Amino acid sequence: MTLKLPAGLVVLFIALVLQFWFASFGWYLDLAFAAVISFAFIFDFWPFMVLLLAAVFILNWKPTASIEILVFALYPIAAHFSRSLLHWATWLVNVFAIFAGFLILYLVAGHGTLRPAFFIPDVVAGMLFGAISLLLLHQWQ
Amino acid sequence: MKKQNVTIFIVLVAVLLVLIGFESSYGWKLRSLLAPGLPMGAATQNDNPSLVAENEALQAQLDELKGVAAILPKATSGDIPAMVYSRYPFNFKNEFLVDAGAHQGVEQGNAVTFQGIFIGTVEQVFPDSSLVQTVFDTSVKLPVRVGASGSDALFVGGASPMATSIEKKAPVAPGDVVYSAAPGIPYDLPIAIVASTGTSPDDLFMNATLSFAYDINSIETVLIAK
Repeated sequence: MTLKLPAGLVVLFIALVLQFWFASFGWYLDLAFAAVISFAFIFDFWPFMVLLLAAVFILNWKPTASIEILVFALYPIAAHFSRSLLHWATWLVNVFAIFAGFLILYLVAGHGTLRPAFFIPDVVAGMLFGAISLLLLHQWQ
Repeated sequence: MKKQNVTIFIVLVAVLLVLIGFESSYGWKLRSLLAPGLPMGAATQNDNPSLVAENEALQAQLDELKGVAAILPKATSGDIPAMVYSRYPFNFKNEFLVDAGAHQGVEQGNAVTFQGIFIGTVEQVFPDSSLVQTVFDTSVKLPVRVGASGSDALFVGGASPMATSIEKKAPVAPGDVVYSAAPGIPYDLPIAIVASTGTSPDDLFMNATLSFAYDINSIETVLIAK
């Protein structure tokens, strides 16, 4: 097994702990979503799937699939398979993908409405966390 | 990637898929281990909504004594206590999951209360858990009454719920309690307090904006009426 999967698990663990910690103060940041989108750009398919499903396993909050968790699971897979479509620097594509992913997640979960007061801090924190995650994982390679 | 590694990853993926599909409660337990305990500041935030909610319930009782007729006794003896599962952290969720289900006697449509305040109804029932649709869901529309005069209104859910279709001359004022009057839900459960009043866009009715005594995301225990 390569070193990358444990490194990804560490990043996912940090994202989840930070996400829950912020949530306990009423700040709802989707750092785990940003992390799994970043994983789509650096991991091969199967280790990426392990990390993605581990995140879904921990975050899924009800016995049946919710629309949010479906977006959470399917969007990073789409990002993984379309990562070579944009010929920009990886970090830039990653940040763009995080922004687009958060936008889709909010629009779907919010039934088409977007509340900037929640969205803007969340997406900014997500892009920042995703960029740092990608940088760390590149150095871990 | 080596073939052996791929096999290991595929096995891991299969195990996770089985866990997600059939043993999701392990995920909730794992999450509760990862989530740190609430700090002091948040604990204080939790206490205040309880007190304000209690105050709101008392105001509703006062309104009853002032003249709301035909009040049925509160059915508290048969209520099912339930803990609210930690939600996937969206702060605009219109539903939450509780740890009581069919095995505990919960049925679809049961009213759910927090500190005596109506906060939603059971939408889906699972063997040991239930999904609660809160009053903040955009699809919620239920008949309510407002204040000591018992003016009829239509409660419309959403991010900022409102009491609508109130008769223009009705004696409704800020501070009045909005309480349940819908069939299938225990009568006179307080829901919210009128924050301000105004006329509807067509100028035919009075509408009221509402304030709530609790933060739906901070609720940890509820009662489900049988």
